Amino acid sequence: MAVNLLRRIGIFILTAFVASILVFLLLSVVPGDPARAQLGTDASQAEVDALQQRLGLNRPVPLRYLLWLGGLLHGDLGTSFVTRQSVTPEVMNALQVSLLLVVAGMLVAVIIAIPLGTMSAMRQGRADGVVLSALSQIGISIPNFLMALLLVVVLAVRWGVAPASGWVAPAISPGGFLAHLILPALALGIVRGAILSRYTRSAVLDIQRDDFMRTARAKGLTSGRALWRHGLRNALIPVVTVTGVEFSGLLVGAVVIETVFVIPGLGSLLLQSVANRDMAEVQAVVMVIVFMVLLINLLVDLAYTIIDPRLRSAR
Amino acid sequence: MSAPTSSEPTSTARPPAAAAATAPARRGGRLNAMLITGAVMVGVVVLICIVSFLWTPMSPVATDPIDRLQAGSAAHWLGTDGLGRDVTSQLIVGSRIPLLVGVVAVLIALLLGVPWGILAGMAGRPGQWCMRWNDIVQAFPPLLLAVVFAAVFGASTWSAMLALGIGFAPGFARVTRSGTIQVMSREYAVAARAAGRGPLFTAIHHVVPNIRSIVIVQATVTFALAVLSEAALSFLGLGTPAPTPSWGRMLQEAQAYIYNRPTLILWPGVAIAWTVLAFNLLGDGLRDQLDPRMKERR
Amino acid sequence: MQLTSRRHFLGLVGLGAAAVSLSACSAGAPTSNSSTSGSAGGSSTATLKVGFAAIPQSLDFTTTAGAAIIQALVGNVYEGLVQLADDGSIKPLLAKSWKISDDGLSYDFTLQEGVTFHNGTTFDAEVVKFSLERIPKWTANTPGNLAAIDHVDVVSASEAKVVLKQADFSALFWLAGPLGAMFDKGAISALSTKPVGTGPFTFGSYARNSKMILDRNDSYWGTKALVRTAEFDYFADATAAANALRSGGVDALYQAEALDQVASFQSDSRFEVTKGTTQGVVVMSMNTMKGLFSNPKLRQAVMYGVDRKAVLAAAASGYGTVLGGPAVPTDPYFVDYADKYPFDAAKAKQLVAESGVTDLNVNFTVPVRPYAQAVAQVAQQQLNAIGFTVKLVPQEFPAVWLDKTLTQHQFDLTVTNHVEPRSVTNYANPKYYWSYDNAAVQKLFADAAAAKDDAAFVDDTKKAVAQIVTDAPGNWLYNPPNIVITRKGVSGFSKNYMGVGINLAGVSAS
Repeated sequence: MAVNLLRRIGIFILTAFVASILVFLLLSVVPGDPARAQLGTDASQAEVDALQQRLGLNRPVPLRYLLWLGGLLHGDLGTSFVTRQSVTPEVMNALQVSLLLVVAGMLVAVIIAIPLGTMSAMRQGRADGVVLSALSQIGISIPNFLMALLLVVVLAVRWGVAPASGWVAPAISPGGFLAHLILPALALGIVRGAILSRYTRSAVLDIQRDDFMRTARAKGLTSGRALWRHGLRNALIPVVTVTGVEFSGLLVGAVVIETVFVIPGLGSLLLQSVANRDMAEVQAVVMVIVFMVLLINLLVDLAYTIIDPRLRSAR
Repeated sequence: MSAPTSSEPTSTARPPAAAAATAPARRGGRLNAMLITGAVMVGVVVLICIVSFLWTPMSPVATDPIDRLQAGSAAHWLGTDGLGRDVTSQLIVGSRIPLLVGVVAVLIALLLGVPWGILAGMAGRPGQWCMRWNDIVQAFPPLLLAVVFAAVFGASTWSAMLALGIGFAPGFARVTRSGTIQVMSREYAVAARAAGRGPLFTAIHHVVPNIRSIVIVQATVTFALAVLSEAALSFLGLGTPAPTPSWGRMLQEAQAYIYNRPTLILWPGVAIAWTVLAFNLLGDGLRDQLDPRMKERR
Repeated sequence: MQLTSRRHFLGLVGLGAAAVSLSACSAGAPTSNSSTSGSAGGSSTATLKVGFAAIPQSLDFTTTAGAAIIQALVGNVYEGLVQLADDGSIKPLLAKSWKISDDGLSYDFTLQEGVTFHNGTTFDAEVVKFSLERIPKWTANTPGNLAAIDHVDVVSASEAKVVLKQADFSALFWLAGPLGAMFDKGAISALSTKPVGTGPFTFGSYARNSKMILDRNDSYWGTKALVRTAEFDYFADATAAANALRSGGVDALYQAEALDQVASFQSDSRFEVTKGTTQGVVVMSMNTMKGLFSNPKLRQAVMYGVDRKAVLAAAASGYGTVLGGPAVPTDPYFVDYADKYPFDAAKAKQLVAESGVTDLNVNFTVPVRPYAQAVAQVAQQQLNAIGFTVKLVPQEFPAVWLDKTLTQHQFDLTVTNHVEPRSVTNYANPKYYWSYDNAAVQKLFADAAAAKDDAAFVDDTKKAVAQIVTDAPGNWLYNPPNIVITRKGVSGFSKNYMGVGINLAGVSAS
C-alpha cells in the first residue's frame, strides 16, 4: 500500500513536470512582441528593449523555463506583462472562487443525479423511466451557457429570485455569497447532473443484477428496499469516483459559466488575459488548471483504491 | 465544458460501473429505437448542411441594418438579427462550422489516438508508459486547449479543430488500448504471434477489425462533444471569426437582444442541442447494437 | 495614444438631438467642486455601485494606456490645477485662478491653500513643479500633448509659473485632463497599486477585472462627496451589465452599451435614462501610404460607398450622431460634414472605375469588439457592392490590433473608436497609423496652437478639419453616445462624457 502510494505520487510529480514543459512551450511561442504591444506606438526601440529586459524576455528559452519552474516551486506563478506585478495573488483568489463554484455545481449535480438516475433505473422499461432517461439525454445536450442565459433571464431578471451576476466572498457576507452562488451553481450543476445521472443509472442497474441483490430479493425484500439496504451503498462507490472525475469537467465548465455571471474566477481571468495577450498570466492560469486536474485525478485514484480493495491489485 | 465526458470516465482508473454504462444496453427493440432516432436526427442536420451549399432563402451574410431585429415574416421566416441578416439562412449555413469542426476534430483525435492506443495495448508493460503520456495530454481539457490555441495562434476554425482534436485524442487512445489488450489475449492473436506474424500484421488483421466498433462509438460520442465545445468557443468569441455564420456565434450575438428578440437565442440553441442529442443518441444506439458482438468475442 | 479598451462603444443621441447645444447640457450637472468647503455632502452613508464596461488593466495611467483608469481616478482620486466642465469650458480646481502672459508662454497659477494629499502631504507649488515636469517620463496617454511645457517655476508656496517652450492654445485643455493630475512625490513609487491624490475620494481597493472601491475623503478641501463609498463594477459584457442593473446588482450604468435595451429601461418606471455625448469618433481609417488607399479616388469611393446611417443602426442601434468629419459636436470647431459625402453607391462605383486600380482586394483589420465587428460586417457588404473585395481580419483588442495595425501599419482599412478628446490633432502627425501627411494641415494646427484667442484657434482648426475631410484619410462614421441608466433615487451624473474622469462626488444615492 505504501509503495503503491509512493509510486502514484512519483508518477504524479513526473506528469506535472512534463505538463509544465508543455504549458511553457505552448505559451512562449507568442505571435507578436509582448513588450511592444504593451508600450504602444510611441515607444522607442530602447524602451522596448528595456521592458524586454525587465520582463526577462531577452534570456534564452531554457533559462526562462527554469526560472519559471523555480518560481512555481516557490509558489510564484510569474509576472504579468500588463501590470508588471506578480500574478500569484490574483490567480490564487480566482482559484478559490472557481473551486467554490465547482463544489457548489458538483453538489447540485449530485442532488439531481442520484434520485434521477436511481429512479430511471428502477423504472427501466416503464414509460416514466423512459421519460426520465430522455430528460437526462436532453439535459446533456444543452450547452451550459445557454442554460445560464435562461436562468438569468427567468430567475434573476423576470422573477428577481437571485442576483444576475457578481460575486460576494463568503467571509464578507455569507448570505450574499449564497445568493450570488445559486444561479451559476445551478447552470453548472444541471447539465453535469444529467451526465452523472446516467452513471448512477448504469451503476444501479449493474447492482440489481448482482448476486447479493438476487439473494436479498429471494429473502423476500421488495426490490426497492433491497436496493436501499444493499445496493445503493455499493452503487455509490463508482458514482463517488465519477463525481471526483467530474471535477475537471466542472472546472472547465466554470470557465464559460463565469463569463455569463461575471464571476471573478479562473475562467474570467483566463479570458481577460487572453484578450490582453498577457501570456504570462495565461500561462499561470493554464498551469493552475492543469495542476488541479492532475491533482484531482491522483486523489480519485488513491481514494478509489482505498474504497474498493478489489481494485488494488488491478493495476 | 458542459459536455458528457463521453460515457467513459476521464480517469485512468475505470470503475466497473462505468464500464457497465453499457449494461442497460441489452434491451432488445428499444436500443434500435435509440439508434434509429439518433440516425434520423443526424440525417436531418447533415441534410441541412448539404442544402446550405445549394440553396438558402437569402444570403446569410447580406446585412440590412434598417430592417434589423424583425419578427418572422414571409420574407424572413424566422426574422432578422441585429445586423438585419436573415436568421433562417444564418441558421442553415451555421450548421457547416459545427459539423466541419466535429468531423476534422474527430479525425485528428482518431488518427492520433487509435495508433497510440494500439501501440500501448500491444506493447505489454511498456504500454503503461505510453498511457502516462496520455495522462499528461488528458490533463489539458479540450476546451482549455482550444482557448490557449486561440490565444497563441489567433482564433480560427483551424486552431479550434486542431486543439479539440488533440484534446480528444487521449479518449480514443484509452478505449483503443483496452480493446487491443482484449484482442491480444485471444487465441487467434496468440496463434498469429506463434506463427511468426509481425506485430504490424496482427495490428492490421486482428486488432483493427475487432476494435472498429468501439472506435466508431467513441467517434460518435466525441462528435457530440466537439459540437458543444465549438459552440462554447464561439460563444466566448474565440471560434470561427465573423462573418462566417455559426450557431455558437449566433448565440453570442443574440445575447444583446435577449429582451427584444428572445427567439434569436432560441433557434441556434435548439440547433446545437438537437445536433448534440442526435450524436449522443446515435452513439448510445450504436454502443447497444455493437456491444453484444463485442461480448461474444470476449 | 489613448484608445478605448471597452468592449464596444455604441452611439445614442438620436439624430435630431445630435447637435446638443453647448450650454444646455451643462445644466444640472455637477460641474465644479472648487467652491469653498461645503457641508452639503459628507453625511450620507450610502454606497453607490456603478457598472462600467471598460476595465482598467493597471492603476498607473502614466504608463498604461486605456480610458478606464482615467475614468475612475481622475477627478475622484486625483485632481489637476483646472478641470473641464460639462460644456467644455475650463474651470478652476486646485488652482484658484490663473493668468496667461501676452506671448502665451507663461501661465501664473494661484493655488488653493490648505489642500493635502490623502497621505497627509501638503499640496503646494513644489507639487505642481514635480508633477508637470514629470510628464515627459509618461509612456502612455499622450504625454506629447503637453510637450510644450518647458519647466515650472515655484514663485511661492501658493504660486506656480508654468513656462512653455512655444505657445500652445490647448495647454489648459490638456492640463484639465489626466496629464494635469497632481502627484505626491512620496507616493509615486506605488502608482500602480496605491493611488494617492487630493480628490474627494480616497482609493480603497481594486480587484482587477472585477471592482474598484473608493471611499469618501472626509477631510476633502472642497465639497465632500455625497456617498460614503463609490464602487466601480466592471462588466466585460454589455448584457451582463444590464442584467445586473435590472436585478439590483448595481445602481447605475455609465456609458451603457446594451443599447438595444435602452428603450425597455426607458419604459420601466424603476429606471431613468439620460443620453449625452462622448468625445469618441468611430472612424474607418485608411492606410494612405501603402496599398490601394494611397489612391484618393478610392478613398472617396469609400466615403460615398458606405451608408453611415445604416452603420449607426447596426453598431449603435441608431443612437449616437452620424459624423462625416473628425470632430465631435461638443468640439468648439465642430462643423457638420454628414452631407459632404452622401451615400451614393453609383458615384462610388464610378470613382472606383476612374481610379484605374484593378487589384481591389482590401485587408480590413477589425478589433474584436462588438461595435467594430458590426461596423465591419455592414461596411464589407457595402464596399463589396461597389467593386471592392473586402477581407475581414479580426484582431484581438487592444494587444493584437495595437501591434499589427497601429504600430506596424499592416492594414488597408481598419475601424476603431478614438475616445480621447480632440483626437483630431492626430492628423498633424504623419507617423500615425493612417500615415496622413499634409503640410498645409500641419501648418494650420501649428497656427491654431499659437493662437491668441478662441476665435483664431477655432478658425484655424476649422480650416484644418475642412482640408482633412477633403483628403478623406478615414471615413468618420459616428460619435458614440453617453448613455447613463440609473435606478430611481440616483442622480447627479454628468450627462456628457468629456473624455477625462467620471466625477462621482456629485452623485447621490438614496
